[in-house]
Amino acid sequence: MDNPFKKRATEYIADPQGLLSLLSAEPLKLFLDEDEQFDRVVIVVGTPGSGKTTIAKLFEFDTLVTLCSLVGIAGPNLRQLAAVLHEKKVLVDNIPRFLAYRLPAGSSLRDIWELPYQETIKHALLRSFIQARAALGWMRRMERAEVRIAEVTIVPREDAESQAQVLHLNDPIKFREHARVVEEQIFRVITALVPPREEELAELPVPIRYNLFDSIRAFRVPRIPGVSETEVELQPMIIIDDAHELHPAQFGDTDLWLRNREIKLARWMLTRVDAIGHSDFRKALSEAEQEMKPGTTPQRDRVIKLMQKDRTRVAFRSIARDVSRKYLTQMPIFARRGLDNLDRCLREDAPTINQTNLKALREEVRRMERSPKLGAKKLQSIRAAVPEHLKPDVAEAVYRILLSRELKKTPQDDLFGADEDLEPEEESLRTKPSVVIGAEIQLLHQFERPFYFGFDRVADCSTSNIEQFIGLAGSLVEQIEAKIIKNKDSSLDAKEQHKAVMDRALDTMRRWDFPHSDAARKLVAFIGQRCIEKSLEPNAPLGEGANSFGIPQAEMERFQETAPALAPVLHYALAYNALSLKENYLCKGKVWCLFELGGIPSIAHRLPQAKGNFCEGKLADLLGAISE
Amino acid sequence: MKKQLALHLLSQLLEWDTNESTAEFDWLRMMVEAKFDHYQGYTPGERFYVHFIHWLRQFSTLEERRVAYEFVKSRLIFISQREMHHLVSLTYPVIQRATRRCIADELGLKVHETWLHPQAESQIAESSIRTLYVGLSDGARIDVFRRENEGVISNEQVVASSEITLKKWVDLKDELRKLLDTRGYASSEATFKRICLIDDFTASGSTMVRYKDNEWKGKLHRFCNASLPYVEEFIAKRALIHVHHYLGTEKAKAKIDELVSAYANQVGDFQFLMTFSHVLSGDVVVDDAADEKLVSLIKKHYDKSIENSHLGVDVWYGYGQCGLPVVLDHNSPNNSIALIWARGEHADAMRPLFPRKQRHVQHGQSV
Amino acid sequence: MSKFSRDFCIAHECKEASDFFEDVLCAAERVLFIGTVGLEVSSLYFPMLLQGSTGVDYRFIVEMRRSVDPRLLELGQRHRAFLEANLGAHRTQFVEVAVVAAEDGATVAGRNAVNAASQWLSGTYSDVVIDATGMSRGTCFPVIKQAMEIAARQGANLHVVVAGEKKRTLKIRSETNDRADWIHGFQGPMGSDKANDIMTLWVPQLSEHMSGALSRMYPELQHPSEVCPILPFPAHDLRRGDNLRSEYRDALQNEWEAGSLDLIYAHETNPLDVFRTISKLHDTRKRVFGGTEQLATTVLSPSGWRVGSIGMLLAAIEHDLPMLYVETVGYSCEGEIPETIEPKVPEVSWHLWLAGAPYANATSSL
Repeated sequence: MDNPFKKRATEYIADPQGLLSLLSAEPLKLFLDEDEQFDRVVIVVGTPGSGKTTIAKLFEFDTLVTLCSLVGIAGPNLRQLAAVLHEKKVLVDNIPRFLAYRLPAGSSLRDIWELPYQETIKHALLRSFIQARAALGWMRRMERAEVRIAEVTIVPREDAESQAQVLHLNDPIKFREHARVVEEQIFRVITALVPPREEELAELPVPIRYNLFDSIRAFRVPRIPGVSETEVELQPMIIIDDAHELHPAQFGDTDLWLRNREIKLARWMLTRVDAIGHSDFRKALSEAEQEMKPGTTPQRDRVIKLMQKDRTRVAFRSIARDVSRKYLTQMPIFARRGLDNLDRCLREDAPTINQTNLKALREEVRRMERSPKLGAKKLQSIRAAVPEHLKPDVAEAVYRILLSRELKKTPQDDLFGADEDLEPEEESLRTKPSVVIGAEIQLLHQFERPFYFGFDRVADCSTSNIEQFIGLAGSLVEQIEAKIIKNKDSSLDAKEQHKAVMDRALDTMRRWDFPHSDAARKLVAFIGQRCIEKSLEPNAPLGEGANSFGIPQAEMERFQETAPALAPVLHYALAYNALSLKENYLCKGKVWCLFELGGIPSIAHRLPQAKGNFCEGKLADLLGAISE
Repeated sequence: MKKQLALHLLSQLLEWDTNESTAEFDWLRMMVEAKFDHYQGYTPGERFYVHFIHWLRQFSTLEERRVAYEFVKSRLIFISQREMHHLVSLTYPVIQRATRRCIADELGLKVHETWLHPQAESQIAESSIRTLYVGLSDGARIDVFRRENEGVISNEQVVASSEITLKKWVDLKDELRKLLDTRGYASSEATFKRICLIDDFTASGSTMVRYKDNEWKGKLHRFCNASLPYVEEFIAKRALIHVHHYLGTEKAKAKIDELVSAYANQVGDFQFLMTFSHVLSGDVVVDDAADEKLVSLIKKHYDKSIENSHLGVDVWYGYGQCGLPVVLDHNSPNNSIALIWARGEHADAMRPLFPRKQRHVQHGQSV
Repeated sequence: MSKFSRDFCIAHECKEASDFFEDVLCAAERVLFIGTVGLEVSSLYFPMLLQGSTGVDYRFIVEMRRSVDPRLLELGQRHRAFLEANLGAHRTQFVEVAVVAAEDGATVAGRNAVNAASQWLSGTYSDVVIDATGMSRGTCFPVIKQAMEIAARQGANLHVVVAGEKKRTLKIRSETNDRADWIHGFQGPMGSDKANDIMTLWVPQLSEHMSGALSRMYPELQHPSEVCPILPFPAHDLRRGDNLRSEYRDALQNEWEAGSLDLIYAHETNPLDVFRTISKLHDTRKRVFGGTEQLATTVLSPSGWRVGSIGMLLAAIEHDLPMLYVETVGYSCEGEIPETIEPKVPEVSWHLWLAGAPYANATSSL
């Protein structure tokens, strides 16, 4: 492998050791930042590349066993992973607490919905299939961890004696064989070119009802080689990955089923943002986003965890550093030079626009200064408000913004009308950092001054999505590698970084290939254009600038009925990080729904990564954008 | 030469910025590993990068070097060994289908009527046994052909050289007899009804057959001439000489068709048929109508010292002015643009990228 | 079943194929022709060849997708009108088949196509002809499989035809679904627990602008032991293979770890060569794994070049191989759309006789 950045995600790593070598403790810490609940259904929501599958794979039994067996001899990274897992009681005394199996939903589960049967039968088939697969999956995971299946004890739930017999819980070999036969039978029904008629189902050689989750409590294994020589009791755990591939009705039924508190298994469903066909789910999601306290209402029968949260931006930077360090050390051309730190290769010395442009900027500012509304004293105080450490071009641009604001607010001259968008702090003598960024954005658009450079900014552009970060970092690493070959120095200046990142963003958008990607591009282009216009307003009303489009929340409540053409476009745009949705956003006494541009489109439109900065509009505007 | 050094030198020669370097290094690494370094005309220590740098250095301006690089990147066709082997594998099915068509014609049937038609199927099967496959050159890779058709064509039906001695004919006939007997054709004559002459590549057709100085020349004529004494005893009367090339051009196809018809009229002893595994589209040809910078480069960096009586004069577009941008893994055809393969005589003369191995010289002509 | 095999498969190309249509199918007792309303004019070729016969029932699948460029929709409608006008409304039926489920975009093309076709195939026919020219693989291949089973029961002959040009005439861009699917009827044990025990070799056909689709397929396979991509060679443009290698170099090197030696070549427009190539590969694997307890299979992914992918279908049927693909859910058009319909003889056309009379006591070879 020449360039590990080009390999898409750790999801492709088959063996536990390989997976562990590429995992870092940081994202795990972030993910397990609440008190975990392993006694109720947990729905993990994240976009592709957010790392949810990776974490699921970590939880699988054989991966945890490998971790435990290596931790004594492994490096700091594995020890840190183990420490986090101990803290969250996933490991206890270096022994896994769970027997977890990750079941990718896949087309077979979804296909059940297309069978020509009544809904109740289809739901029953799905539940049975999931349970049979879980049984087989747990056995496989134990086998991979070299546990001897014949010596395993399956502990039934107290109230499940009759089922225990039917399912052969007293004999692990028979248990497995029975599960296999049931699974194969259902599988044959699902994959038949022409499925059996409903009346024929009862006549199948094997009964297709399989009710395992209500019947078991635990698995007891006498020993786990390399980890424990004494008996261990394991709580079974099922992780249904890519649950968004289920039909909405299937998702709903599975959610309902797994919410049953009688089930003693730990159960997770990993899904993309768009499995939110149901408005109640969207509401729950929005509530989860706004929850600031961990581990709330214990009587909830469902927990929603979000992979990409606002407050994780700074934490993500450390994940990004970790990941890039890991990958760089695998590239000989970097390792030979002791370059294990991408930071060092991304120079942060900011460029200044050229003299001609600077002169033009200064002249513009001087023209503004000559306005009769601005007295000498006022000018002095505005000048003083410009932070000192800034380069001359940025300083001038900040000054220009402050002047515009001042000019706007003079009561006798109402050329621009009342401006409701100004930050309340605009009266403050100290200029907020957001205004500095706003100035940089304006310089980018006006004079092509590089903006996307420096490790932190690149990490922030990835909107907490590991795969996006790897893509952006990969482009930068490629350029650095080329430079090393050319015998130039091993770092990129701001201009080079900016270009690489921009090119990558534009290329990524060009290659978007998902359903309705054309319409998604139009939607993004529309929002991008409006945000650019807002960001380039001389008084920078939103500080850094805008990267969202806000509509009244009320319009969102029934958007599936009022704007049906938009629903599928949004469905996929959200799933693929083209946009993200922030509902019930309070701003200046109104409730908004924000359509935020994803990291890549923000870069492509040369906009900042700013949360909550939006331009106002209506649902009809968005509809208009996609119907052109 | 170490890859990194080579890429560094190339980026200097072509004055690539970081962006361009990134893209081009990627492409080069892939193509060099996949194809270019495997050119059989190279020796250890002197593989593609060395030749490429040396080749580019003959162009004095940056613009010329970039035109040359662009030519390699977007027009050069390098047929790798594995690709060539695939063309070999297509041969037998092409020959079999041609056989079916011929027999359909003979019996007054359409092709679709021959399936399971007892007489047709019998004749096709018999014809397959009474076929001799002859490699006309090393490039015919007759060993690969044999391997590809193991179990389908008997070893004794394949010969690696077109020079077949009497003793060899006798052996071939003996084996043919045995094969016919074991396969239920005891009453069939043990003579070859079809002789497939197999070669790798033809761009102009003239190596196969040409009429020059009032006489027929070329591999086909040489073979037919040499085989005449063996007709009736080893070769059936009016046997079909089936010429198959793995790769040809539209120009060659047309030329060979025309010439072979004329040849057949003059030489009544055989029938003739031409097939190809693949015919190159005329789009690939580089001629005066091509991009003017490329044309100018090709003509400017042409060295007359490469000319000889076989090649002719003004052969900047290669022998026969074929203008091909083709390189085969085992050798560059001389019908390709001279700039690709030709080496001038003096130190500063034109340099090859994929130097052509001259074959054996016959009467002062390289063949 | 009396069907083709790798040693004996009746195939006709170009004039041979049209001769067959004229001499045999036009005179056949009762023919069921299943085709589709395609976007390329080549999709009109085979239906029109049977125009003169009185014994043909035409059934056309109209594949319904959510996001299709209106100009392409209009072109499709023109083609439909052409077929109706020239073949006669009384013997043609057009049935709309949804390719994806409206609620959630899941692929349902195969099941829906099989549902529609099962009614047609219940009739009594001497010959069933399935025209793959305009049909997506997800629709076409399940219908062919179904037709094979039914034709075998009824003793009918089954033919598959496909036509195309060496260079694309319309500049159509496909939008692919965001999930990989097993072609209906070609799933085998894949996706079941048993699949974990099977060592898979993945053989994807490489084609332009399909990297998104291919990257969705790879994870579905859960770590294939090996990847052997097929490149089109020989092809009309001999550099096509190199260009594809360049386009997919990241995937080849870093994701699939497929080096030069893992690449396979198959003729761009000769389905028999594709069939042969895959059969050879399969034979080798059988030899290697045959004596062991290790289960092994080869997963095929047809994409892009339609004529070549028929070869994959033949291999899948012959060797019982699973096929994985990503359905196309939309089309956009980047170039001009022809104003008039100008039917012409396509540069590439094939007729393949898959099952029926000739195979009842087959002894002949190709």
